[in-house]
Amino acid sequence: MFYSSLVINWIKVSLFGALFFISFYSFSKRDEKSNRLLDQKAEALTRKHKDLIFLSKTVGFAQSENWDSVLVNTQKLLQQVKGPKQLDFVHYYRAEAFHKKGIFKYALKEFNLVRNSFEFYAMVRFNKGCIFLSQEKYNQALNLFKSIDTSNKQIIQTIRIDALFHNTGVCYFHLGNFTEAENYLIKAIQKIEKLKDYTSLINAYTDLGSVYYEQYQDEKAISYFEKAYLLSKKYGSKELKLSSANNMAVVEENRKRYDLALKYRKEYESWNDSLSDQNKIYEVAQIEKRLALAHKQRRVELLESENKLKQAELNTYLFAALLLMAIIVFGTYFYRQNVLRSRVILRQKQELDLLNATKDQLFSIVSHDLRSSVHALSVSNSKLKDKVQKQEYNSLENQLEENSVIATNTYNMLDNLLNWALLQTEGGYFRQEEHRLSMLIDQVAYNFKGVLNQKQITFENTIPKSIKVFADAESLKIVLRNFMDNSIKFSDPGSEITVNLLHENETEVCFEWKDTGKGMSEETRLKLLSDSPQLTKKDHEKTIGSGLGMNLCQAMLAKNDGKLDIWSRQNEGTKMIVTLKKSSDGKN
Amino acid sequence: MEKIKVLIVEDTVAESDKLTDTLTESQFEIVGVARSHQEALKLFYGNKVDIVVIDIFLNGIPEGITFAETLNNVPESSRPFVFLTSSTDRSIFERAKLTKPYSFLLKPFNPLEVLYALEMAIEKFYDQPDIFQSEEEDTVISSEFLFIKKKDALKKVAVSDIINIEVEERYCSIFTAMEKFVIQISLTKVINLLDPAVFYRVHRNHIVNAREIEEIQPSDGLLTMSNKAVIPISDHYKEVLNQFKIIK
Repeated sequence: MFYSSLVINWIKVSLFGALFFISFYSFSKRDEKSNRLLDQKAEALTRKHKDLIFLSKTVGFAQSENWDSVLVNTQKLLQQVKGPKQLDFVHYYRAEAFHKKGIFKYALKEFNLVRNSFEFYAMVRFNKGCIFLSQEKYNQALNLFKSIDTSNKQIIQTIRIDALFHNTGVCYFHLGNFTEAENYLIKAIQKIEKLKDYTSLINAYTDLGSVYYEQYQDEKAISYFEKAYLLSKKYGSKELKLSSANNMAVVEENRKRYDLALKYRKEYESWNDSLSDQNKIYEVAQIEKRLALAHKQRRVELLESENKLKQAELNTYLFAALLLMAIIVFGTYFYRQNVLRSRVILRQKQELDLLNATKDQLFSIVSHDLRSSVHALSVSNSKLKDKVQKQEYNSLENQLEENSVIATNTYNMLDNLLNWALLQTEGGYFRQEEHRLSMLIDQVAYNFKGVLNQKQITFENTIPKSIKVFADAESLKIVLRNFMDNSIKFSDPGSEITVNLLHENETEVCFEWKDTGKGMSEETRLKLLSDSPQLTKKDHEKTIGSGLGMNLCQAMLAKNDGKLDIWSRQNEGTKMIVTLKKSSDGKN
Repeated sequence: MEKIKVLIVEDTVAESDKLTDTLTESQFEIVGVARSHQEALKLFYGNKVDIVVIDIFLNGIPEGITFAETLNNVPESSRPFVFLTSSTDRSIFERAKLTKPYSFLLKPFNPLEVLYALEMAIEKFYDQPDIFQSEEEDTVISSEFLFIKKKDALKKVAVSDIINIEVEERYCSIFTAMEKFVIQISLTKVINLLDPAVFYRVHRNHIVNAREIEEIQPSDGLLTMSNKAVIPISDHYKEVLNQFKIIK
């Protein structure tokens, strides 16, 4: 079966009031030779240009007659393809798709976009002609058909020449040019007879018959109608049988051979019934199909909703899993933080414990010292009272001096304690300024004049007046006071205390506080210099100290950016060596 | 030379007595002891005071700071002052510092410390730091007085009492109507700090108080001062005389 077009035109032959079926070829089938040629060319083009995947797809869809896909693909191609040759193919396929879908307007538009130089341009003209023919624009169709050069072998290859002749004949017929119509149809029949395409042959016979019939050449006409009828009985489809029978009925009726006409009519009726039955069956089948489709659709919907449900469930699981993960991650993080924090807290606790222990020790020593000092004072006072009662005025002065020494010592200790506390809480006032070192030493020494006299210790400050240090006066005085206190404590009567400048340079001043007292052991010296807040009992039994003073000195000097070193030999004496900054060094 | 007049603002009698004794011993003159803010104000405005010693805590509240603020706020009568305190508590110090105190004196104090604090206050107030402790100079000059350190005591001389100044090496001899004394200060510094409308340099070694000139003998190049001192005028400084004429 080569010929597609079963578009049936009902031509009214007004003269007889009878109906003939006139048919023509509207479009070639996909498996036709000419179309195969086109597809092959397109495929070849695709192979040459790798990027034309859509074109090969298009060809595939066109071969399987999936016209919607062809339209979609060519739409994409239109945006991609720039070469005119490729564009011809694209437009052709689009036109073909529109034509097959019956959208003639767009099909024509696309055909018009194909260039004249397109190698399958004959096909374009032929198909355009077919469109005009089906739109009953016979002149336009005829022009197109006639413009195809039938003498060119190459062009002939691309289309079916018999179809061209047939359609040309049909055009002439409709235009009333029966001679030409007859000519073309006979040419067509000659070609078709060689091809043994019976459907086309039946159509051609019918059409030729109609031509003759229109010219009142009834004999010729009837012979063709009969030919068509006989062929259709043997090979034709139901529709052909129907139309040929109808034609026979019409002609026989006109010949007044009513019995024959009746027979044909009956045949026609029976074919008609059968056809309508078929149509009914087809319709029923369609309905069934639709029902099945609806059923399927419902199934699909059901499945879809099930799927959705499952997806939702899956999502829920996923969400839960994520949540769990997050909880675990956060949990781990906070756990780690907690561990770190507790470690820090533990370390702080240890430090605090150490400090607390130091503080407790400090307080126990201080309270012990304080207690003994105050006790000594009260004992001394009662002695004083005794002596006053006994009127021993000579020794009164000594007793009083002793009293004042105890009071001074106690006061110094309390002062240190206060300063130590202030240092711990960072609550003390601290302001570094330039001060004359010699002046500060003199100010401190002034308070010890009495004690020094009493113990017959000579004090000498040899620091030049011009030497200046950059320090907080009060804290430096605390340091010097402690030096003095210690030196006096550990010096024998008649010894001496001197303060000497060791050296000075542009940034630092170094001086020594030297006494010729008892000195201390290396162990004590190192303990005093160590940074640990561990307080030490001193070597000398009588003069109990807390070590607080030296601790305070170290801290105060450090705060003033100073350094402390101790030189000491037992029974030779001690040197406190202090280095202080000379200027602010850009601070302040 | 006169004694420096000190106003003490201290509510504790024992403390103020001790301070009075110390200051009197150090050749200061106590113009009064105030027990409260009110009294302090009355005494301050009722007397010519050179320096004030203020206890931060008066009757348990830091009223001393308030008084110091008052002192600062009256530029005409602004005077150096020293804060007296027994506490090194930082918060109090920080508050007191806002009043730009000229120095702090920490209880308990000894005479050396008191003197040092007062000297510091004067140096800082007149913006001539590190004078009294140095070995090179011993005088701080304000618009009204010369504050002179003599043998561990601080004295003052009214600038208006000065008749003439003679320079010799690193020393300046100051002549007043009553006395003559030597201070350690550079001549350029003296010239810079004294009022140029009153004191003129007439010779490389002489500065005179224009108000105390009794007689000018241009021919001999001599000035006779109110204390009968005769001062030579060097050629180099002769234009100064022209100014005198214009003035007179």
